Amino acid sequence: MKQLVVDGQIYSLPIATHNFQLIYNKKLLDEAGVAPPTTMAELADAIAKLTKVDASGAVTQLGLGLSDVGAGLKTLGYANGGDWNRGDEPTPTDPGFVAGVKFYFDNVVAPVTPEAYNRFIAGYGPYMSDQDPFVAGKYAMVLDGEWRSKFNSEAGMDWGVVPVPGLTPELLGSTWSDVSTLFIPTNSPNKEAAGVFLTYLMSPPAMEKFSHVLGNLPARLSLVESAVYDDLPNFDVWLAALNSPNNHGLPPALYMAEYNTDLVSAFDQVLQGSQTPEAALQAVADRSASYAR
Amino acid sequence: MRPTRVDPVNPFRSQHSRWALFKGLAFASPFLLGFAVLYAWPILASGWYSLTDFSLFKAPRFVGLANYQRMLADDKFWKSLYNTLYFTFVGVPVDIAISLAGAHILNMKLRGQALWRALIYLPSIVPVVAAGFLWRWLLNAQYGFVNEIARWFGLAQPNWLADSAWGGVSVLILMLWTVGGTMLIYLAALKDVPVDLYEAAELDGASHWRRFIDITWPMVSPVTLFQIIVLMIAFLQVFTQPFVLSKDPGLTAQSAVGPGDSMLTYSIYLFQNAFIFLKMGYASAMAWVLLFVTLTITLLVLWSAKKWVFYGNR
Repeated sequence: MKQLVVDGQIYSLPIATHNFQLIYNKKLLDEAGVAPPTTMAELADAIAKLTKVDASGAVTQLGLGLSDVGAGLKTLGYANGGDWNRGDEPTPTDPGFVAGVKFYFDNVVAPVTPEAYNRFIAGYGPYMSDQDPFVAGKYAMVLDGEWRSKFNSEAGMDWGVVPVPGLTPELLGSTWSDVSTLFIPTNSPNKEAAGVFLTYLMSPPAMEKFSHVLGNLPARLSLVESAVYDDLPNFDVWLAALNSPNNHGLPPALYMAEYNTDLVSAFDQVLQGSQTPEAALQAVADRSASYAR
Repeated sequence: MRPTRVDPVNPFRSQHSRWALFKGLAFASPFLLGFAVLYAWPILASGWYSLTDFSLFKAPRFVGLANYQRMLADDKFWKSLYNTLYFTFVGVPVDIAISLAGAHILNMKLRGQALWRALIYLPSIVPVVAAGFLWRWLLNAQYGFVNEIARWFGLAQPNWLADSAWGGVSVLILMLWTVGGTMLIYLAALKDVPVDLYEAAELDGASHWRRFIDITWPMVSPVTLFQIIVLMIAFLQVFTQPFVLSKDPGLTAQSAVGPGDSMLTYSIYLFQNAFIFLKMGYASAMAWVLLFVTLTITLLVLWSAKKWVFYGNR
């Protein structure tokens, strides 16, 4: 990280962006007679219909899974009109954000019990492998990023994606963007040559190729309409979010690493059933005063 | 006879002595340089940094004892300290007990004893990270081998790695997996106990337990003291085992350090503060507190040793 800093400022260039949408297993939704949800009420209903428990109480299929607990619950916070970093400050007790975490616990975890939920997720295989719970048909829906387009297709899945359902129609497609960046290290022996190379990579033709090969979103809005992404199935939903007012960005703040670590710990306490969302996120708010600025 | 007068040695007195001193220092210089650069300087620097607010991006700013004061109100600091002390005060006695019992078995005249000794020691030479990944599979709640065995015997099948009540136990299991190293040291100690002591006790009608309490335990007590101090320092600094066990299955997403942060040890929290949160000043202060805790417990063990360690004819 120190290699990104010049005169106390962090410098890097965005090569690709990412956002999260609701991916679903078409076969499982068809079998349950569930249409892809567009509102939080429909999402709750779909989760109930798509979650399966056997006679012993063990979960065999989860209606809505999280490929990344932190990213997924933050997305649900935005879907409920919340923001976990409003005004470039940590806001873990933002009512909408708390409501998003509460939504997941109330609709996914509580109905099957935290013990059964955690035992189910303990059997996960590695992410984006054949044992990935979405690939294995253990998740009917999952909040995940655009890179799944390339992977799901290569895995031969029958899948679809819709914008993240919103609490109100205005909140439909609420999500947030993460960014992949490149930088010239401060100790680089040939900064000029590195600069020329980065200039090339940031140019529209090079960025288009780069992001397409990786199955990532471009970091230039001028590339949103590019036809090169047409061969990536369902990619348009993630591409469209780049121009959406409901797509939230994040500042490269020094406190983010600690804040994210604390949020993930708080989410874990909630999913374990050992703390309420309100109490767990209040604890994060109490800690946030000591974050590095 | 008049005693011979011996002059005190002054290495600077003659050219020959100065040359000898220079040669000595030159031969020792690899260590001296390494110690100065890799140990002494970082130790002194961390002492200074512990009194500063230092994020790596800006020059350290002197804040006095603020970092130490902040620990008092830091719930994760206390959580990590509690977890570490729990691992230490449960793990060290259990390690000693298993090692001593196992060493007795390895000391018996059994067929293929050399093979058993090698097998017991084998886990100690397996890299910790590899062992950690192996145990992630073994302890998996749904298809792990440990729960499969528990199922055969009709026992409870805990959610080892995803239940806060069992996260700490999982770390202890992984740490105790390398108990063979301690066991072999005890085996060497047992072989040093004079056989005639046992023979005399047997003639006097002493039971097995009596012979263990009155002969074996005192005779191996210096080794026990050594083992306790070495193990205690290792447990207080434990990092790799909980770090590997607590990673998410794909090693991609950020996750808590074990369920309910039950695997968050002092060293992991120190590492997070230094290299993830970039709070180098706070991390340095934590390092000094760990030194103080380790020193205090070690001194207490050494003090208590006067009452239970037996040094033969001394």
